[in-house]
Amino acid sequence: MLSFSRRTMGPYWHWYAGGTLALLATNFLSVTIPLHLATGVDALAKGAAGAPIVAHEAAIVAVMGVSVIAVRTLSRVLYFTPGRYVEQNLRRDLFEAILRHQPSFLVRYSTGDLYSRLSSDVGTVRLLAGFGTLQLANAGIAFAMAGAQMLRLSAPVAWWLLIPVAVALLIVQVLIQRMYKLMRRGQEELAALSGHVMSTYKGIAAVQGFVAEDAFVAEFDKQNDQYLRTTVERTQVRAALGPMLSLASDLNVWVLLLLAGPRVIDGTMTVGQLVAFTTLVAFVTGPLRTSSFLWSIVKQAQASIERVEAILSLPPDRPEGANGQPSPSHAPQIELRNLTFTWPGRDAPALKNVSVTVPAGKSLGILGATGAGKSTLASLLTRSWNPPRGTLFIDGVDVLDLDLDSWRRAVTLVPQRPFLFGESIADNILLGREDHGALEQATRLAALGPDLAALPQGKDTIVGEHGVRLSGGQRQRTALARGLIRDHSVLILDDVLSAVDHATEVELLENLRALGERGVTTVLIAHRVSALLHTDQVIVLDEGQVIDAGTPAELLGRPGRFRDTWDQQQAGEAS
Amino acid sequence: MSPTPVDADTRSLRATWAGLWPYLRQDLWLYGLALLLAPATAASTMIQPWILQRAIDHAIVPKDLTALGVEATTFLAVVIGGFVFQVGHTLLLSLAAMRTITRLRHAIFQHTITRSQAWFDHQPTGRLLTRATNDVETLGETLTAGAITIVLDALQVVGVLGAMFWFDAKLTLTLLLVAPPLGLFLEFVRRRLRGLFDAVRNALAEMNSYMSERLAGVEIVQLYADEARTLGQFEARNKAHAEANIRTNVYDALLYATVDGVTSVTLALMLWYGSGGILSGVLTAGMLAAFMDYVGKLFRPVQEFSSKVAVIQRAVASLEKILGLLEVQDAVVGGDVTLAHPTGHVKLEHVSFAYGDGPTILHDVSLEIRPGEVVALCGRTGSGKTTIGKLLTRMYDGHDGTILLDGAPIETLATGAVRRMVGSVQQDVQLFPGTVRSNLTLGHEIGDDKLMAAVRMVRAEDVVARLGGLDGRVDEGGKNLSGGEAQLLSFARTMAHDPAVVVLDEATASVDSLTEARIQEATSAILSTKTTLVIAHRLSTIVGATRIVLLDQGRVLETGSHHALMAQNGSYAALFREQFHELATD
Ligand SMILES: Nc1ncnc2c1ncn2[C@@H]1O[C@H](COP(=O)(O)OP(=O)(O)OP(=O)(O)O)[C@@H](O)[C@H]1O
Ligand SMILES: Nc1ncnc2c1ncn2[C@@H]1O[C@H](COP(=O)(O)OP(=O)(O)O)[C@@H](O)[C@H]1O
Ligand SMILES: [Mg+2]
Ligand SMILES: [Mg+2]
Repeated sequence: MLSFSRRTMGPYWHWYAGGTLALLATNFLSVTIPLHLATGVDALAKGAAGAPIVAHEAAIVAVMGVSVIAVRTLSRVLYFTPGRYVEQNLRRDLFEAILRHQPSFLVRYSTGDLYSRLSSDVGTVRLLAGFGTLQLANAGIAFAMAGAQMLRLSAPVAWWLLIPVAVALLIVQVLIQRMYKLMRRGQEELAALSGHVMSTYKGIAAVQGFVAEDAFVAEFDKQNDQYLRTTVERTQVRAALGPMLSLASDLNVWVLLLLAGPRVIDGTMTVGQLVAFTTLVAFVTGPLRTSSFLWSIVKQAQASIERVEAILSLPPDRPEGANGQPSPSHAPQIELRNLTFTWPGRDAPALKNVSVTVPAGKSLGILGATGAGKSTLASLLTRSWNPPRGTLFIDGVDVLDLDLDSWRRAVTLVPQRPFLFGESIADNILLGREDHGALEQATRLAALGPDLAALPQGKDTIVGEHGVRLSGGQRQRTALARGLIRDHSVLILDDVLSAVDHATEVELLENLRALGERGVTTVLIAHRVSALLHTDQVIVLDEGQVIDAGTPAELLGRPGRFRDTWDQQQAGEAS
Repeated sequence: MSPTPVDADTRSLRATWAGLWPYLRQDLWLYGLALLLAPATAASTMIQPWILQRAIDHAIVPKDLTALGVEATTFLAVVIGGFVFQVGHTLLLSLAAMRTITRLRHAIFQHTITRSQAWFDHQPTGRLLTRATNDVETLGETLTAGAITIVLDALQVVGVLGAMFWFDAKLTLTLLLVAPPLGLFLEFVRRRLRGLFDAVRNALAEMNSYMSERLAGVEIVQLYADEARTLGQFEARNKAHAEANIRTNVYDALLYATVDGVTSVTLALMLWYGSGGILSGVLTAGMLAAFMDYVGKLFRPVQEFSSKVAVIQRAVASLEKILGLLEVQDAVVGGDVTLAHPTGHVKLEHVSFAYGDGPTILHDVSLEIRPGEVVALCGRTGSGKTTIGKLLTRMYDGHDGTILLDGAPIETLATGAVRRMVGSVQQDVQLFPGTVRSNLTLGHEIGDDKLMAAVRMVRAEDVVARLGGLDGRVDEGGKNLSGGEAQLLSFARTMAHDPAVVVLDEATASVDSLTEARIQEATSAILSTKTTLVIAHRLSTIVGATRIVLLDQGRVLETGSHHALMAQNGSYAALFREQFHELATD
């Protein structure tokens, strides 16, 4: 936790230093004011002779009071501002780390979980970096200064005053431990609750379509109530924790009466000093009270830091290390050697001993039943998941040795399930590119032209989150255009024709064929035999194994899955 | 800075807090009890200086040790009593606030998930999530730590002031000279903060919705090497959020510090004034000491209060957002007719439809499907096929013309009844984190036998076995399933719910043809007992339909059986021949 604080807060040390100076000034003023008041009160006792002194002291106190406003404001601003910067930086770093981590790592966390780490946990760290640090410094300075003043007034009395505080701190320590556990539990429960809310909103059409609102609300209530129980338990601890230290402070006034009272009576202390003592005790009441709150912030932040560090501290899964090889800039040869891959949590491998070579610039078609392993192959090719070493080669180089960034720029996968951001169609396709000529080209290749013409805002139509405001086919082709606009040497299209009508399919295939001639190594996954007819070679996958391979013509010419599928798709003609 | 009209501001503020009323009403007794303890806590705080004064004036100055003993013991009793009351007060208050908040969170969830699809089409889920989590949490913190204890603070101020007046009215009045400027200042800052915190809430929602969307699409960001730009866009929002917060800092700090300084100024005022009093013998040293203590006790709640002003402004900003959400009326309102045994007769008469104020998507569509019939919809993508399905399940309303279900206009039926009658396999597969079973039942009571029957019907028994049976895990959005597997589960779900009318919207588009054929075979028997609307691109899968409807840019171009349409030799026939002719010659 210390090294974490040093790392995140260190760069802002001058803010904190300035803030501490302001705090010192504030506290200095605050403890000096009672002394001047005491002098004033004692001067009163001298009768008329003391009057000028009283006026003088009153004037000093008033000026100091006004100065307190300035320095205290300054101290808070100087502490809170870097707190916000720390929050901002940490959130950026965490977001960046999430982007750098590969899906194989990120599957461990639900989106809701990551979200709550980015929002609540980072927020808790800010509380520590801003408010918490301020209070810590403030309390430290206040105690030191008030302590010094008290020691000057009367050392024995001052020492006695420590006892109630020490006892209270001990009790606080015990309560805090309990609180810490409850806090962690609360954070987890809140994250789960967020997850449920998020997935419900995402699947809202199904929830409403199946009249499942009540069931989802019931599940929500279950988690909501569980969270309530945890927070109530936490409150019980906190209710005792909060006033514990101000109790100590009040008890100190009592101790004063017992100890200083007799001293005033026997003349070893003045009434003015007694008054000054009570003022000093009142002065530390505030910092004492916030100390217990502060302590709970520290504990909470500790839990949050752990959750943030779990993601931040692990390096991304990049077996190539810092100096991976650059990807070939031309269309490469792709070779699979005895590739076997099993998804975590599954018994059977999704791919078994798959061997196939796609010559540079040629195309491979993949046909296979549901769950046969086609998309798995695509995930391994793009290294969304790393294949086992020694199974996948690009121009003879193990794909694991390629620099991931350069490989990702060289390869384009248009995934089976299109994901669109809630922006305009153009922004979704361009992904930050500026080239509007390319946009024209890509929409034409993806056969989006007629759709854009029909939409009132054309390419500037906002598609809604995940593209909800587009038809399925429009969504799919927008995702396709996004893939086609890139300069790649390898293109993988995973079932991108499933939601388009026949005429559009024909147009698309025509466009893709033209693309293929530009020299891009292509992998085409499709359920339509017609889509695979123009590929250079086809493999047929079943339960992860290659059960047939050859050119489309060869496969059509002999009995097997490919021919059966073709016949099935042709069956319409017979009727 | 332009001044805000006073009553517009306060009225809306009052209305805002009034909006919270329904959620805290049930816990009124808890709040009441907490408030009852408040005067006791305040009293203990107020009595302490008084005892101190007595101890100084009546015991210490007269050098009376026994009297000092008595005063000290009283003091201890008061302190401990005060502690007990305060713990009780905090406990009750937090309990009440948390229950309120839990209820509010429930209300937000319940309210939002019953809003219309049209509304959801324009809502980033991240923003909704911010309302249900961050905003509610902020409000909760305020309720426990701030809003209600203000009553306590106010009580304390009134009590301390009363005690001071009782001691010395003139002195107190002099001290009160500081009140008007202080009050004006606090009000000024409060107003500024209100606007600033509103900006903070907006910046936060903006950042969160970006965050949640990119987290959901993180794979695309990575695949398309778009990390740098995404990070840049995120950082812009992150920075805006930080800066919006930093802008509030100065006011926030000023609020706190001002009261602190004013306390000292008041003490100075008192010292100066007190000198006159003591000289003329109306004031004793003990009274002055007590007075100084009182001034401290007077300003502590004022300071607490002013530091809470910021917290409360933040909460008001959150509460406004939440109430705004709860006021959204956009829901599909159904009638109250429920059908006990729907037969599944579907009829569309001259239906036209547009999404919101967008272009007209469906033009004068008429269509009838009788029980036992299978009607197929075909047409280019974007021609409005899915839209017809959405209207039948009443996901959207506001169409022209009539949609009749079992002869009743769809608006007169309860939405629940409509959706139980018309089940659709949506083109967009939506799965939830949980198990295969929970995804199939979606919380309804459906036995495993029935679930497995539905699974077999869509030929997904192998798939379910592969996932580990009905208890197999399904991740968020079905991420751990293949595209076809997810679609099959979605299909099985609809079959398990056994609706009278089934809409199959490209229900097997991601499934291989051989499996598709087997599904068709397996479902044909059960579908012949239902009313079916099939939407498909692959004409081979619809040739057996009772009627085929060809849709073109939202208009019905041709209707008839496959043979009738082929004989008619129109667009359908052309389309059909094109599809199979090309395949044959390739
Ligand atoms: N992320 C994942 N985690 C665990 N299992 C997975 C994951 N993705 C896919 N699988 C499983 O791996 C197997 C192969 O899936 P894959 O997506 O490669 O199939 P596919 O051939 O693309 O099928 P479809 O034609 O239905 O898209 C399936 O059993 C699937 O459930
Ligand atoms: N929620 C929506 N909001 C606005 N426009 C929509 C929405 N859903 C679909 N559309 C538009 O309506 C048209 C028809 O869509 P749809 O019915 O899904 O077509 P399809 O025939 O491919 O199923 C398309 O142009 C699409 O962009
Ligand atoms: Mg797939
Ligand atoms: Mg559609």
